Amino acid sequence: MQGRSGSPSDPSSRDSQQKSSKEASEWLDAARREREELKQDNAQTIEETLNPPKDARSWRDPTLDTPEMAQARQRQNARESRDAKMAQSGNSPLEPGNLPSPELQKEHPTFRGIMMGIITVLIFSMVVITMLYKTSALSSIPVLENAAGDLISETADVISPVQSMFSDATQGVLGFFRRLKFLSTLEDEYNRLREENEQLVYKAMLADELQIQLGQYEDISEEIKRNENMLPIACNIIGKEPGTYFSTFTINRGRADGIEEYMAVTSFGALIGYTEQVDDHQSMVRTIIDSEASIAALIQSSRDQGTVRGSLGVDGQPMCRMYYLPDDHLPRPGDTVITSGVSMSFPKGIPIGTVRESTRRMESNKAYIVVEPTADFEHLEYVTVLRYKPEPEPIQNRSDASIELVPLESIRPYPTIRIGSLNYFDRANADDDEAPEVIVVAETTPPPTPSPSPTPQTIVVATEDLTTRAPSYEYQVIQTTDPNWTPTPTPSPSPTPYLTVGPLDMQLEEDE
Amino acid sequence: MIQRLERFGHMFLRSVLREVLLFAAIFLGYLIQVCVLPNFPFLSLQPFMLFTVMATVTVCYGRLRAFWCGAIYGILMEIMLSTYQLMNLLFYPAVAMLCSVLFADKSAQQLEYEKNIGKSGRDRSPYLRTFLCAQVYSVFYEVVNLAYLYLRESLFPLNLVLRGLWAILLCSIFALIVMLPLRMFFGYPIRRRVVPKVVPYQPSSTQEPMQWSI
Repeated sequence: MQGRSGSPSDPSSRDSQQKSSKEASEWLDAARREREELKQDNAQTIEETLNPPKDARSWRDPTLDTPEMAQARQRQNARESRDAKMAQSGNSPLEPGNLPSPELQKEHPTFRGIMMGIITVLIFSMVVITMLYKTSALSSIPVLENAAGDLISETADVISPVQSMFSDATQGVLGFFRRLKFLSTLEDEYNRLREENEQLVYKAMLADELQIQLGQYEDISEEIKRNENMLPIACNIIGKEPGTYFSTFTINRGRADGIEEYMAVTSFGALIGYTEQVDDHQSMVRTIIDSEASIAALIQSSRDQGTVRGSLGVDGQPMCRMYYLPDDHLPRPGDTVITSGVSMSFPKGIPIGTVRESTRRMESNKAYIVVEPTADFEHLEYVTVLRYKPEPEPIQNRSDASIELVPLESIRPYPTIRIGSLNYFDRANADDDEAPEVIVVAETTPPPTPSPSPTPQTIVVATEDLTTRAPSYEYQVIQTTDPNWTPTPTPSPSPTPYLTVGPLDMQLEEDE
Repeated sequence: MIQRLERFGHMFLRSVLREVLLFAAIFLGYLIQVCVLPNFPFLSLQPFMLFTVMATVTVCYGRLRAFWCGAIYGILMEIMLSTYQLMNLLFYPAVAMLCSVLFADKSAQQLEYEKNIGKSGRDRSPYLRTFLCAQVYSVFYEVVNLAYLYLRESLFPLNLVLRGLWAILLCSIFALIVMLPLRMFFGYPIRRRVVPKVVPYQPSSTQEPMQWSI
């Protein structure tokens, strides 16, 4: 085009551009009209091709042209001739790639140029101001620096609310989709949580059970440590007698573990019973509440000894009865009953129970006291067997026929009476040279059975031959091997409570 | 006269609308970049909406609008999300200007010149140019960042280079997807008017239509 070589400010080129634009618009209108006509022609042609009339000949037959077809044919011929002319002139037909850029289609270039310039200057100045402010280049001019800072801060103040609103909207939309996703997986999540909850409940139950077992194991461990000298061994109860009149159970230890018959069985320090039948790897224990059981016991306070038996087979109560107590006084309710260590291999001092009630005897053989066992027989799971067994001491000089009875030791001097002596009171006639000989000899008789309660060793002192000397009262101080020994104070029995009424406290009361 | 005024008003409104759409797309691209895309990470990377918008504006509008777009993004990122001082402010406009030289539409004179010297005389496909422009933007960005790290920390870890390559790939794929609706938003492909290339042909009385392209 001619206008393309000139500058936009050239009036001639501007006029030519305007003229060409006008012509282009006119041609475009013509092209639109032609297109509509072509559409109609094509539709008519297609219709005739698909549904040709019975007497139709080829559409190319000019003799059959309708007036519209004739015009269409004429236009087609004109187009072909024009293209031929353009091809001859060396100008290629208009094609999409050869169209000029849209820049030439713009109108009002001055106005547009001014706007572009203003916007460009504004943006560029904003860039420069921001750069100078960030590099502190305006620090020498405080006014400009403040202005730049205000501009930047105001820009940020304008953008921030929009950004926050957009962000909130985004989060809202994302939250909606997250909720949808959550709802879609709600059922799976529920099932998963349910299974997890079941597992956790099981674990919690297991933890509680293990906690209880741990407490029990700790108690057993303390008990074992406390009674270490009695060789305790912890056992599990693996079977219980289901009846209501006998109370026996089976433990998982036997002869292979050092257990023998009639060994004490305790639980948390209280006597449960004793082993009755022992196999290699299990044992049967009879409890103290069983009516077949019989254990030597004593009242801790009064030291009155008796026999404890169970009352389960008698009256069906899980209690014990203590028989053969002395008649002079009865124990009070609340007194502790312990093992006496007299029979079986029981250590002495194991708590059995407490006195619950006592009966006034009608006959001595029916007098008993009810002892409430300390142990809980309904919740037994673990027991301890005391494998205590006293070792028999060798008997020395057993063949010596002269068995001499010697008194036990005492801190108080006591007179020694010689058997066969005639002169009991003539001390002066005694030979001074015949001083009594005090011979300290070794133990000639086996000592008493050692029990857990510590007792001092005694030394037997043999005196001289009583048949040769005149009788006299002699005070001998028995020496012990332990100079620091002090005797165990004999416990005084608790006084039997009784009511003392003086004469002044009594008064006459008349019968009504 | 009235028709002239009407056409003037119509054209003016069309131009204003085009510019308004441009600024709206620029600002919307910034909001999407800072508010939406951080919620959709891929391999701990997020695509660059800014480069996609800049590439589309470069191809659709030309060099001047590309500079506007780069400068506005530089100002926004420098004020709101500054990482290294002046890096955003200088990087975005400079890279926009550079890539506009490579990927913007050629002028009519340049097309005519290329055609006269025997070349095709056409612009390449705008979609290809937009895709390549976005890729070049992301390449420049990763290179500048790695260079800054190397100069500052004396570090050049290989994992960061691989991460940069992944970012370039992600940006390219994102640009390929987003440029289509963005170009439609800008009104592309645009209906062009028929302007004859040669001396006006005297139409015949039958007013033959001319070929045009849409």
